[in-house]
Amino acid sequence: MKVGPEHFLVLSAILFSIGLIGVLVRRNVLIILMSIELMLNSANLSLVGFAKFMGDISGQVYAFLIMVVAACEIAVGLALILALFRNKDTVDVDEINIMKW
Amino acid sequence: MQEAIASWGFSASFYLLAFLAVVSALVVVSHRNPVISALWLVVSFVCVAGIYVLLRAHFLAMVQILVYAGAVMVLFAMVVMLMDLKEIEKGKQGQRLVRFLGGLSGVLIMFLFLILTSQAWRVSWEGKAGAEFGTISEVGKVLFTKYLLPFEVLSLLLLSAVIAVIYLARRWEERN
Repeated sequence: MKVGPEHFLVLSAILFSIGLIGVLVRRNVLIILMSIELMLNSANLSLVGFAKFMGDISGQVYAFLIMVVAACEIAVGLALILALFRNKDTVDVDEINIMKW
Repeated sequence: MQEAIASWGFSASFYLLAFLAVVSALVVVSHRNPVISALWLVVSFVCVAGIYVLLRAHFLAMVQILVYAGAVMVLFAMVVMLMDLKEIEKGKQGQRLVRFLGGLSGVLIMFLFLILTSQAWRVSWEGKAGAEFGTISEVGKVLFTKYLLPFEVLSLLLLSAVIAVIYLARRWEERN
């Protein structure tokens, strides 16, 4: 059983889809943020896989850049959730309907 | 003989790590309690870091553990504990159809991705990863020459994120 590029890409696709389903189905905004992290992580996984199987280090550099962006995103997202929780006292996305449209 | 054993070990560790990563990701999206979800997210990240090692990305595996399993998870744990979370996700049934359709479309997109990615072996992957591939010095060389400008812009992004977080997380009364 040889592990080729398609194995890593399939794993990345499965992880991305799990994250996507989490974003679409869950209502807790913290879980939605975690699912977004899963999706970003799976994108990184496929980038690293391409880097290995094409012999080009640029994919790893991109993955590194994406990691920093994800860290920024999670910090700002959690701060927003915290501010929202102080005002609305909920983390349910169905309850957060200040902006109607 | 030795090569066969090494290849067998590679496959076995890939399947083990992949299985663990998928199972823990499923627990993350399905568990009711966000604290437990956050802990399983760490497991998923660590498994992906192990797969990075299999893909000869040692530097990235280290950064993954430090940034995701370390910093991001500390943030999550702090924020979850700062909130007094009530049990939600039950009671109201209004959006049930929308959520069901969302999950269904997610599953369909998963099948689409699986069909696409499982054909990757048809492409000829002739790239050769050298012995130094993925070490800190190799990544650093490319990062500080070819990708110097994105790297510097990224530091500005980090700075602006820090300022934004401090502004957002201040108490509401102090702002006025």
